[in-house]
Amino acid sequence: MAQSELDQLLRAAANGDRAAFRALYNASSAKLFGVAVRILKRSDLAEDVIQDAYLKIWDAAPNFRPELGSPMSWMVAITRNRAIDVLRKRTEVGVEDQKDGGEREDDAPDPYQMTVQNNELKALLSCMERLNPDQRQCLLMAYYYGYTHEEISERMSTPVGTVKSWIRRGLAKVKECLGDG
Amino acid sequence: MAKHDHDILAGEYALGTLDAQERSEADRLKVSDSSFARAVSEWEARLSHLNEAVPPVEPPASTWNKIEAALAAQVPAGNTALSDLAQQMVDLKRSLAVWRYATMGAVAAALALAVVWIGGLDTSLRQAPPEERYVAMLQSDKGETGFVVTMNMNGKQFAIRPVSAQEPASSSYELWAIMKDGKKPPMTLGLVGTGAYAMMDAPAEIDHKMLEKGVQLAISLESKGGAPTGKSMGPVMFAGLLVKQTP
Repeated sequence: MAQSELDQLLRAAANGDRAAFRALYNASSAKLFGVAVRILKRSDLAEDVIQDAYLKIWDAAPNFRPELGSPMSWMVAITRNRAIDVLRKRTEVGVEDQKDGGEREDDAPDPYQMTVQNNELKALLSCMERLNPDQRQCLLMAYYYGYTHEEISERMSTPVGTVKSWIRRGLAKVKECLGDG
Repeated sequence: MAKHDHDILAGEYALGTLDAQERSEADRLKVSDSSFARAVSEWEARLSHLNEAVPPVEPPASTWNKIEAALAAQVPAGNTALSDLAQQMVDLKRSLAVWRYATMGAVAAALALAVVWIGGLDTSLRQAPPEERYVAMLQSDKGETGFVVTMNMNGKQFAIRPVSAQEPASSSYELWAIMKDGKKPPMTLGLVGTGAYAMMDAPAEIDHKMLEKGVQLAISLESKGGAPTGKSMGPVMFAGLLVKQTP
C-alpha cells in the first residue's frame, strides 16, 4: 500500500474512524508482527506486543508527525520499542525462553542480499557499507534483534567497551554520511 | 549532556541497545525534553528502512478481535472519574489533532464564525450574574493534578496555580481552551510556568454560552517558546473541564 494511503488511514483513525483503523491494521500487521517475532523469537509474545502496539497507535494517532517520518516507520518504531521493553523485562527476571519460531541467527535479515528499490534504504546501506564490517555487524544485530551492548559483546566475543564504541562511532558516521549531521 | 552525546544516546535508544535501566531513563528524558524526543524520532525514521529486509509474518487471525475488544473496553460506561479523564485526554488529543490538520479553508471558516459570534458578546456579558467562577483541575492521564485553573467571569481572567507539574527541560507548557462543540479550533491562552501563581486574560470568545456547552482546558508540551504555528504540535500532558464553582 502506498505511503499516502497509510497516511490517510492514520489520519482517519486519529479522528476516531474504527473502519479506517481496521484497514490500517490489515495493511500493516504482517510487517509489525514480523518485526516483533524477529526480536522476541516467540509468536505468543509477539502477538501481545502488536496488540499493545496497535492500542498505542490508536491513542497516539493524533500525535503522529508526518514531517518526522512515514506512518510505517512510526508504527514500526512503536512496535520495536514495545518488543524491546518486553525483551528487557524477560532478561531481567531471567526467564528461559522456549523459542518456537525456529529462528537462528544465521537467518538474520541481510539487507545487502536484497534488490533494493527504496532510495532512502539505498543511501542508508551505502553509508553503512563505509563502516568497517564489525561496526556494521553490530548495528544490524542490534537493530534486528534488539540486543544490548552486553549481548552483542558475548555474541561477537569482543569486550563490551569496544562494542559500545563501535556502535557510537558507527551511528555518528552513518548520520554524517546521510548528511543529517 | 552535550548535544552530540544526546544525539548518540537517541541513536542507541532507536537502535535498541540500551539496557532496561538506560531505556527507562531515556523514556523519562523523552517526556521532559522535546529536543531529545525529536532526535529519537529522527533516528527511528533514519533506521526504519532496514525493516524492508524483515520478512512479513501474518499474525494469528484472533489478534484483531483482541484489539477490537480492548478498544471497546476503553470507552467508559459510566465508571470511575479516572477512566473518564483518560477518555477525555484521548478526545482532547483528537480534537487538537483535527485542527492541526485543518485546511486553510476550515481555519478561515472558523475565523468567520468567531467574528459573527463575537458580535453577540455584549448581550451575554450584560446578562452575567455577579461573582461567577469556574474551576478546572488539570490532571495527567495518571490522575496527578498538575495545575488548578480558576476563572473569574466578571473580570474575564484566569488564575493558574501549579500543583505538582515540574518545569520541562528545553520545552514549554502551553495552555489551550478547547470548545466541546468542536466548532472552533483550540485557542492558545499562552505559556504557563510551574514556578508561581499567574493571572492571564481570558479570550473574549469564552463566555457563558460557551461555558455551558463545555470548555476543556489542556496543557501541551511544546517546543521552547510555544507552538510556532499557533496550533498545538506536542502531546497533551494535563487536561480538565471548566466547571462552575458552587457558591
